[in-house]
Amino acid sequence: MRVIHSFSHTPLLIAFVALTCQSRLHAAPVVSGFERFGRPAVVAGERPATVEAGLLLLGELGCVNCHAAQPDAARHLSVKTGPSLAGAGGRINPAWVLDYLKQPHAVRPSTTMPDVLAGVPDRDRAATGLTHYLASTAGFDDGAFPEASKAKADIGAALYERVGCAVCHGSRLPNAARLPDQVPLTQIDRKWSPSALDEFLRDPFAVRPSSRMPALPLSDQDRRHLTAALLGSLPESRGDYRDAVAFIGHAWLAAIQRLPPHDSLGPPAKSGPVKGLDVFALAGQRDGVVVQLDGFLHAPRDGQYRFYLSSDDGSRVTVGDRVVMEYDGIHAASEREGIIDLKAGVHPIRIDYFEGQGLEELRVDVVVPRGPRLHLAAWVTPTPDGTPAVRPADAKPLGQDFPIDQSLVEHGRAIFAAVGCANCHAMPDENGERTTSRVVATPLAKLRVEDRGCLSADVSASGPRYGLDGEQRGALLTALAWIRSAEAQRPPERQLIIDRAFTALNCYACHERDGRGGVVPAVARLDDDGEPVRKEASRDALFSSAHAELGDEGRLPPSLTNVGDKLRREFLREVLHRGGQDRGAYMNTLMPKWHPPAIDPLVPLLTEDTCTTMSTPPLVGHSAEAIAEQGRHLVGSKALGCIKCHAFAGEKGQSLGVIDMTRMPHRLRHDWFLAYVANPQRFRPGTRMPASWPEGKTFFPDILDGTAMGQIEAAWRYLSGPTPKPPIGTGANPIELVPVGKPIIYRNFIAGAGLRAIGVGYPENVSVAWDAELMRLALVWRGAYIDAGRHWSNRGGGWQPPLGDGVFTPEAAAAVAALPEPSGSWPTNPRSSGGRFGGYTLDRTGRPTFQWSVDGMQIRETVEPALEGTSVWIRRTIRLHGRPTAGTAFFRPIAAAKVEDGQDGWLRIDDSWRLRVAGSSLGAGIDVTNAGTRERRYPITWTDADTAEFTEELGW
Amino acid sequence: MVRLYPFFATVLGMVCAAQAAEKPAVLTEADAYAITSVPMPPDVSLEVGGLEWLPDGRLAVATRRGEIWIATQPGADAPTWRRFAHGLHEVLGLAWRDGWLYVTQFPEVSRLRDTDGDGEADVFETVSDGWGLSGDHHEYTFGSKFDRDGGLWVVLCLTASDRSDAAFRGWAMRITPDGRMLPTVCGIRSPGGIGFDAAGNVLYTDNQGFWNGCCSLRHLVPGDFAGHPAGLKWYHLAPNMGPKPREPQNGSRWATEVEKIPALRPPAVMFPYGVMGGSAAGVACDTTDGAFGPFTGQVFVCDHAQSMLMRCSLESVDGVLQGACFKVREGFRSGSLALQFAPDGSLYVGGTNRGWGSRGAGDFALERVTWTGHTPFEITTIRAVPGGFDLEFTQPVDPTTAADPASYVAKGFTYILQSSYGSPVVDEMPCPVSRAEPSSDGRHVRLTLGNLRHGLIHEIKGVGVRNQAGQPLVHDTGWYTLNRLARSSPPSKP
Repeated sequence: MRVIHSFSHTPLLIAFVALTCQSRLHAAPVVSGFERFGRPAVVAGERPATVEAGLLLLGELGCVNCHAAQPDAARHLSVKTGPSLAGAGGRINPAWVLDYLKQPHAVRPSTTMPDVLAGVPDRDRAATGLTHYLASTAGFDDGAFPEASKAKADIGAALYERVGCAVCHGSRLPNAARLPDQVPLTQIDRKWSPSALDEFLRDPFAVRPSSRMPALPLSDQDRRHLTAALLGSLPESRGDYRDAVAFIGHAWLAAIQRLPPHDSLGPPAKSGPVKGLDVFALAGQRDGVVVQLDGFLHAPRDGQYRFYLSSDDGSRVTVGDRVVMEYDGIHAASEREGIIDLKAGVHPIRIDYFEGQGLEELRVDVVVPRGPRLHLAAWVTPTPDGTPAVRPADAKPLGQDFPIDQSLVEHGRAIFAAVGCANCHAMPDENGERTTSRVVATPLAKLRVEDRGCLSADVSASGPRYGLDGEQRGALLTALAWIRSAEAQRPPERQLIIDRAFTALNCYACHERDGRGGVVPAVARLDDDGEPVRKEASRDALFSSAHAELGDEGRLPPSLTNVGDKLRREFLREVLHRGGQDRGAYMNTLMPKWHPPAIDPLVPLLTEDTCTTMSTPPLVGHSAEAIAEQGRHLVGSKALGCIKCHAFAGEKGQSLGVIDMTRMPHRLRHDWFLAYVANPQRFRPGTRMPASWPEGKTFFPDILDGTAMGQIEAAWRYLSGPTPKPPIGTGANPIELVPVGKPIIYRNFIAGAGLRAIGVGYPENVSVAWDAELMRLALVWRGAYIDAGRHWSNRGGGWQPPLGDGVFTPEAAAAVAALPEPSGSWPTNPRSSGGRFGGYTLDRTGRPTFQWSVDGMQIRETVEPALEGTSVWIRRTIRLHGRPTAGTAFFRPIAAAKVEDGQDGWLRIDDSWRLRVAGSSLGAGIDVTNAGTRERRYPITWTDADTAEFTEELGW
Repeated sequence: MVRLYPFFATVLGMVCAAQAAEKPAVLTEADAYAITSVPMPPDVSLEVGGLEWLPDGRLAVATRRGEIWIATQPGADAPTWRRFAHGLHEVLGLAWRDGWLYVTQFPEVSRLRDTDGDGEADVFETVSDGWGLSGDHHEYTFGSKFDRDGGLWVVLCLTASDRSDAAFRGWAMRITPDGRMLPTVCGIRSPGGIGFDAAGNVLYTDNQGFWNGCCSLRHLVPGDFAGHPAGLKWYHLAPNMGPKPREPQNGSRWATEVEKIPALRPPAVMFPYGVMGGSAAGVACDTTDGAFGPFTGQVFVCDHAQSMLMRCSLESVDGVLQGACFKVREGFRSGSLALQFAPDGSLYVGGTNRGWGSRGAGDFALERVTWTGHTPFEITTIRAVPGGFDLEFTQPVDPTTAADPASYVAKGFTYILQSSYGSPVVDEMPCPVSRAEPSSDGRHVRLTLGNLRHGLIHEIKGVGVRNQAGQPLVHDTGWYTLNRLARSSPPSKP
């Protein structure tokens, strides 16, 4: 067992350190929160802020992983361990590991991992041993993972800038300056295996339980694009290969069916350099072309090369004397894959190709080992000594094989436990248990507060070397002193815990809370006009929107000031676990997913933000249905027009796609919603969300209780329903059909009314849909009629539901049938016994009479509105002609779960609508109960003329 | 487009008129056929799906939005429009008989009548709705005019253009005068129009896609099979059709499968894809007796994707209809869908490009094509003869160029008959022209070709042929679908 002890330092060494410190400045570990908030405070000499900065470093640099903190102090410190190294050999390139262990601060200047080998006698052997030890845990897979072939580095590079990577790691655009708190991605293309990086981006917490980098909720495909961009290490000008000469080509002008033998065509018609694969420029025509291209492939490293060939018509790729792939004959373009093992170096490559006539294509992509998928021409030059557009040096060739030396593995294993690696890194030992470190350091509370040990400026110190700069050391010393103070014995306050967590996790990179973070400058300063600077321009530029017109609200991640007042506790947890998508239609930066064990303690603390309480308007005297209907009306395009900006149930329609209205009850606290909608500016100064009830006044005094709060409450209750019906104005191209004067007929696929639906919208604000497949009155509703936009836009596919409210289905099957006995089973479809739909007639007012026949009876149904005062309902007059060929004719107006007799002959159905029947042709009703469904059947009586007539009224 | 200043136009017109008397000088298709826009009712999306003349000379126009509009004097500068009906489901066929307007809409054939004389239909009687629907928007129903027996024909597009999820999707049905529905031809994929030739044969267009390497004009003969196998599953509902044909072999050729499957009828005319359109649609036979130019009796077909007009010369060889297609006119304003010849000899073209892109960018259009009176120098017809083809021209040819085999370039090719979408051009081979023999009146040239193969499209270019004024052909190419080789010489009379 070894105890870290400090060396006494000599003046000579101090001088040496002072000299090297200048160069060290750039190699100091980057802890984002320290760089953004701590360092300025330390420079400014603000003592409490310096304490905070030091406490942050104590946690983020992993000090407490060696120097145990007593419980009181631990409450003030974050916990950050190193990555798990179980199986690291499969993820991390051993060649990189060796370089890194030999010179961690040179290879990765921003690293927070200390150099622990500085004092080890044979450093090279120790580093080599550790490398073999790590490499022995799994074989390193140098090849691209199979799905990587579809990954496009240029798409990934754009995602990197857009979705939030650049916020924390710095823009990779040319000339972009890195902010001090941005952690540079140094040599990650050398370090990672492609599949491991892709997996790490998917779930960083699997290998780094205390990763400060969260997972972005990207699609698999987008994540692969990003992986390609991160591993490609491509010059920004990588498109140049399209214009660079890659081949010498020969072209013949001939119409052929298959690739010819190479010597059969005689002298070529054209010869010359070919840019990219543009064979048609060489041939001077696009039909009847035969081409042979010769060039030299600069293979950057040994390994498997995957070629992707798409051609119309035939083609062949030959490398050296090996045919990699052949896709001969006349055919349309489609992609083929060919794989070949190549050694690093220059290989002759030949492309044979011909095009008959019609469409033409020739495209060859290649995935070099560990490389992204690129156009073949990126790696090809016309002569062996040329420089391809992507230079092999850019691909940073790595040792392909890393033969494991077992004695070095054992040496590395010993070093791993001896020098303190195991204090931070989990690593299973031979028994699968976490390797125990043999390093035991002085507990935090007992450390002497002076420049010694890790904090020593002495370069020859054998302890872990962090490469700290003076400000970091100063902050740490201040914090160490504070840890022993009485103040440190007290638990931190809620807001301080939140602030520390936001700093350590770097939530502040995107979000502002209480004036800190986001794009707000860390140090208050004034602009030229003496106004406080509200935005740091270089940070502001990292956030973009798909809808510039939404302004900052559509671009900058939301303020988290009082976020627990706004969001429901359950939703807070959800968004932290799953990431956020609610602003995805316009905000480019994505809310990432966090590690539940690390983030969950924050949820109850944030919930304590709650400060807005409202009394819920009771809306006495209005049915739940009426309240929801009015709420729907209010948010629709005929009232307040919320639908013009907000999406609804996933449908963006013509709106800006601003946060989905149906998500609001899921996301927001009820009280906050009421207060916010009443006065948005109070919560979000400058928001584009209008105050629809200015000064608490409503524009719609006749709706519900005529109060602002009552109407906002109605919108809330409407949105809180299980599946709120889309408001008027939803959809990409709403074409509302509004009957004026005469009814409007609409035949199309009406949801709930079958394949041969005939909608009838009456000017009296009531509508029906008749089902001409099953001969039934399928739907009745009131209010708006129907939106033809779905069917009258593009190809018009899909089902369209009624636009209005109070929709009910009077009949699941035709209401007239002939039965052998009164309680016999009711036929589901008249067509199965020869029933036919006969069409309809329109009377002078445009009201339809539907005609159909079954079992020898001709049936005519006139459907029209009935009015009394402001009430409207449907009256249906049914006339029959001809007695049934067999059995007894019945009229069955209802089959429902709940049928109750009411006043004046009305039957109340399922607590939502009602009907009554009348007519001398109807005999006494018979109730039939069938599997929980109550039916009422009336025998039909006939006049001498074999006719019958009766009416049915349907309404609410 | 070339726009002429009035003065030059007048001069040119005089020159043209002078030449037209002796040697008509027409160099472009626009010189021979003029397109004018018919003024449409304001604020109406006239997405034309069907056209029909009423006995009183008015034009009925059906729309995909389910309306019927009637124009009085549609050829006049300011026709008057009146809405006759609304509330129909995507109307793609109109026909008039005995005071009724027959309407083919998505779910049914209906007939409409105005009984109270207010100008609007008040009876919407269902004539036939015996086919199934699945709710898929692709299940279009195209309806014909009346055939010689008084019946209507409907062609039913497949579900999603490749499946048959409801009864008779992928079939042609006949509606008899008494309203019975007869399953008639199976194997349809995605029709774009239906009509008749001068002999009363029923023709429809089917579109490039699954089992269709290219668009084509098809002859509907009761009991036949048109090639797409998805609809075969409904044979049990069609006892009149006899035994179910076997499915074509995927990846085969028409010529091969026609030998193996007796019911399989090859396309009468295949339209080389991309060259002769990309979406064949309306079908109309020129019955104008010369009022529309020199192509009386030919079948005109419009192409939706390329907004153009083509024509087909047809002949029957061994009982199999086949023939050639030619370009007529490009430049329509929307996706051309419906065709209808007018009593005055002009041709009305209705268009829409909603959901289906077209070269003509207009959302919808109604246009009228009139023959200017100038005869374009064109190949009128191509007929199969033993060892080659007989080409008939609209004007006497220059004997020197017409007799030179080097004035012609010919080749054969076809498409794969396959289950996947479309096909590349395959089996392509040049057909060297060994002899070209003009007739004594200069109206015919008989070509003798090598490599004639049945089952292939034969592309024949008269690149060097001139008329007696020394002018080249306006369209120098015809494509003949050679289902059957000619066995004996047809009559040489034109």
